[in-house]
Amino acid sequence: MIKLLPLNIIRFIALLLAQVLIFNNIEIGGYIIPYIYILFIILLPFETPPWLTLFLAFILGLSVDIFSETLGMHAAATVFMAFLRPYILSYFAPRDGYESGSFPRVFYYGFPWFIKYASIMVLAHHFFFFYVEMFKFQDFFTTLLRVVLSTLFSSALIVVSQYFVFRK
Amino acid sequence: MRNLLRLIIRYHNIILFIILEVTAFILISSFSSYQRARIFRLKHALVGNIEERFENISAYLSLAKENKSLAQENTSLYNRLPASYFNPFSTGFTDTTSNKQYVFMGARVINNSTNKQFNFIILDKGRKHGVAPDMAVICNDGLVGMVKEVTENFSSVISVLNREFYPNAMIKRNGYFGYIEWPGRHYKRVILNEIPLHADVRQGDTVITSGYSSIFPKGILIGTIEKFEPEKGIFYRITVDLSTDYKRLSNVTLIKNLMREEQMEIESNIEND
Repeated sequence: MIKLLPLNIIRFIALLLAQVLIFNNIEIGGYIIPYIYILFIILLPFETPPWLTLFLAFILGLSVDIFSETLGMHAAATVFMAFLRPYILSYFAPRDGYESGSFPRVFYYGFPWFIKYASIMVLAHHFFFFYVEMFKFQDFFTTLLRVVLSTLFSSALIVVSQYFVFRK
Repeated sequence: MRNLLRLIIRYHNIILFIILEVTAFILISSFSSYQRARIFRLKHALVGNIEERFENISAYLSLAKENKSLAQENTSLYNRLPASYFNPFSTGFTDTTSNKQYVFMGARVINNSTNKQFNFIILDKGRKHGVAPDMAVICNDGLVGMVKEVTENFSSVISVLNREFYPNAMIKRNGYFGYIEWPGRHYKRVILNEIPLHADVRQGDTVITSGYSSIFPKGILIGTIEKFEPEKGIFYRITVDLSTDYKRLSNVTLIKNLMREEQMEIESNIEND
């Protein structure tokens, strides 16, 4: 439990830097823009109280906002995603609940569970973010296409990261 | 009171969620381009060092390309020097004080994006160096944007890849003019609007700035026509392939129009009538 705090701080900073320095510069065909920093919220322990998740999401989103000069947009989207997290987790919970001492990872709950959980979280974030960025429902379907394609790409990156970077 | 407290405790997550979302939306709506320049300073203090290193590496990698384009620009400028023309009536000196309309100034791009809906570019020149809002920004390949806000050392440029920026444009071959709009998708494609259906438009036609605003001089390259189709109504919808590659923008030129105020004055007189 004591090890969790420094681990999460390092993860926060690492994901923030990765997003700002690398993934913010990726853009494929004008439709695919990956936002992978939300992995931090996805990987938080099951026992994290919802209010703390909300606060962390706000701080994380705001930090990304400062570096990408979009004040408030990432914060709003990440807080929205963090708000949905407990509901998504309880929806996908195994029959006898989550074991104590386990984390929301491929390692503990397997590939199918993780991809369902992660992609819905990513979808919630991307959906909110791209529509807030537009700030109006003009070009509704273009934005929807952008949401779908970016969600697929970000989810793929997040799942792959589970096998290479955050293995355990 | 006790009930209220109980209610707050019971729904504390939803209340917190609403408070944070409202805060975020207040931040979004109050975010102006002035704050953009200020927040950039904060960011510069935090990670400016790391970013500069990344920037230096990429600048180093594109040195060859950069050198080539600078050499090309040099040759074209040499060709325009008065010394390269034959003029039997030359008096031996040129008047550099009275008839000058545009002043040019070089700057370096230190921050740029192409993946948002409202893209901005940050330059390393500010008020201290003589940059003012509404100056035009171009590069060797063509149009880049317009200065929006300046701070002491930096300036933010509203790029053509911004859905709130509509520069004037004209087809070079026949002079029909309209305005440029970015649909927010690909960083090389913009739409040229308001070209009437009776205009003779061909694929590959050059699109330049029209010079009908006091910001951009006439004749700055914007791009070439990629495809066109009649849209409902009386106008074409023309897709223009931008000549500027926003993904590898590093050196730009700022243009100041010395006669801008004079032009604005006469334009505002027309509107008042």
